[in-house]
Amino acid sequence: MPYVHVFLPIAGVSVNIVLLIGMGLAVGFLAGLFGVGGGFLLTPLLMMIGIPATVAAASDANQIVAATTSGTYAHWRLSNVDFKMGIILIIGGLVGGTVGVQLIKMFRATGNAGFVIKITYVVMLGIIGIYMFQDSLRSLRPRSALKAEPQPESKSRFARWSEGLPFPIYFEKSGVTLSVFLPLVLGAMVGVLSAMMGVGGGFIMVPVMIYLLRMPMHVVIGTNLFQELFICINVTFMQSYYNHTVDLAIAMLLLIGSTTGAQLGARVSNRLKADHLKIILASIVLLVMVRMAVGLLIQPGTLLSYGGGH
Amino acid sequence: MTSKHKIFWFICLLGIVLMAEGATPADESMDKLTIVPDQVQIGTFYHGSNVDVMATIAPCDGAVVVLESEDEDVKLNRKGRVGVIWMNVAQLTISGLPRVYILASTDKLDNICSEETCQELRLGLNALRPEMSIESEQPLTGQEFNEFLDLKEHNGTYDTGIKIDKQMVYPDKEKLSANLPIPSGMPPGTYEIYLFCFDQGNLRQKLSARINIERIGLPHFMIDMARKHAALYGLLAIIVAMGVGIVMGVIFSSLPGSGH
Repeated sequence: MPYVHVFLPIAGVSVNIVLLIGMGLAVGFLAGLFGVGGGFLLTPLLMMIGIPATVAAASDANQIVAATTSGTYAHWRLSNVDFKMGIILIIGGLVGGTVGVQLIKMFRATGNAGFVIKITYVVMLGIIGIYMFQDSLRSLRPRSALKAEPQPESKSRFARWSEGLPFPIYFEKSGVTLSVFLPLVLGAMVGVLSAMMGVGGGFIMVPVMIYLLRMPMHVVIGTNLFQELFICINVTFMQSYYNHTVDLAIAMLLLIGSTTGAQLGARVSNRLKADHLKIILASIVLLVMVRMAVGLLIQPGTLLSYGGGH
Repeated sequence: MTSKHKIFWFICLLGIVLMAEGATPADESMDKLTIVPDQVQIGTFYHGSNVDVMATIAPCDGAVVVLESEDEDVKLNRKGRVGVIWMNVAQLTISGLPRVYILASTDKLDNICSEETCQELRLGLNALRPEMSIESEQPLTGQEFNEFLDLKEHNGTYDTGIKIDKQMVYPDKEKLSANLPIPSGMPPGTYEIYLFCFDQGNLRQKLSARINIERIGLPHFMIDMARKHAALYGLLAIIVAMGVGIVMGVIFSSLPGSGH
């Protein structure tokens, strides 16, 4: 059928438009439903339909720019963004993102960029999926069982250690005092992963903000979107400039679906129980991880692939 | 002879000439390879294409049509097993083989031309095998040619299973036609298409024509910009994405029932 397929010039393949918009819609719906960016699901899905891993990761970062712009705008209007924390995370993230892009360039030259992206995904999705699954199972247990468990200490070992770090700053919006180095280093680590995986890093940054930076929940989402926006702007530019792997056509088609899906998902999420949502998301994350792991374990159909610079 | 008779005989002679012309095909359509279309354009909605290759020639025992690009040096990664994981373990450069090789024939190549003739004319995958040379720092396995064919057949740039149809159109002429696939991953460029006709294993006739594949419109603009003006392309990608994000944010925040 004419006009059903679109030629993706940077990826060099032709794909079904409905499939691409549908993928954006489905992942956007999940993102809206669970309050996550969804980039960590989109990149593996793009790889599964034949988009080269480096193009999938870079183009996904480009579409996250649009999604996070929209989200930051909404949270800024609600005064839910800690700009001071966000700017420090961004500085760390920009350094980390630049390092990540250079790492991808290096791995492309050795022919293993796709492999590194896939293995990073398998490890990260595995850790997060298992953690989320356990966390949601714990919260589904009867309340009496929860009461019987010993209460955690008021301050963790990490919190006590971080209080001893130099150059503490008070973050008014979040109501916490932290060393400037803590968000800087954590931002850099997430930035490296963002560049390598083509994701905004929200699924890593949100737990980091809650558990390590001890920020209140209402500020976490807005601040995360704000820092993700700038990290993905940097990654998009770097990937375009150094690797020529950003396919604007992929990003735009995904956007049509994902922005609409995110709004629909956000409306549906109000009608569902949070713990059930968490279990569903954890299962999806683990399924994608298993699918990718199987791809690395089973002998590929063709042993040769085009090398760097293709 | 009166002038009326002259006119009568002139008309009769003209009629005979015209009838004779009509009984056999025009010279231009004979012994010429025709490709329809001879221009393939990779536009926004391109999803691969097909071209019809036709020729009307004196009947022959067998015919072969080949669409072949120039030879290229191609850098490849070779996957191998490390522990339980499949990853790239070697890099190699293959030379001496065409980037694209699509072959159609009236019968199995063994029944059309002798091994030596096929080899000389580079007809069939067996004829390509000795042409290949490999550079690699790692030891070779001997399976490189077959693995290379797997890769090429997988992305559609090598295809040797196409049938040529034969149809007698005149007592002494037959029409050969084949439908060649042009895969979506086929790179732009000018490609030569050859028709070889054989009698008793020997080459009797060779015809050729060219086909041009080019990017147009949005794909051409995007590739050109992404490679030649990478910084500008990156900025454009960011501005477009932010613009779409703001517009979508404003639209959805103004809708009734919006959470924000």
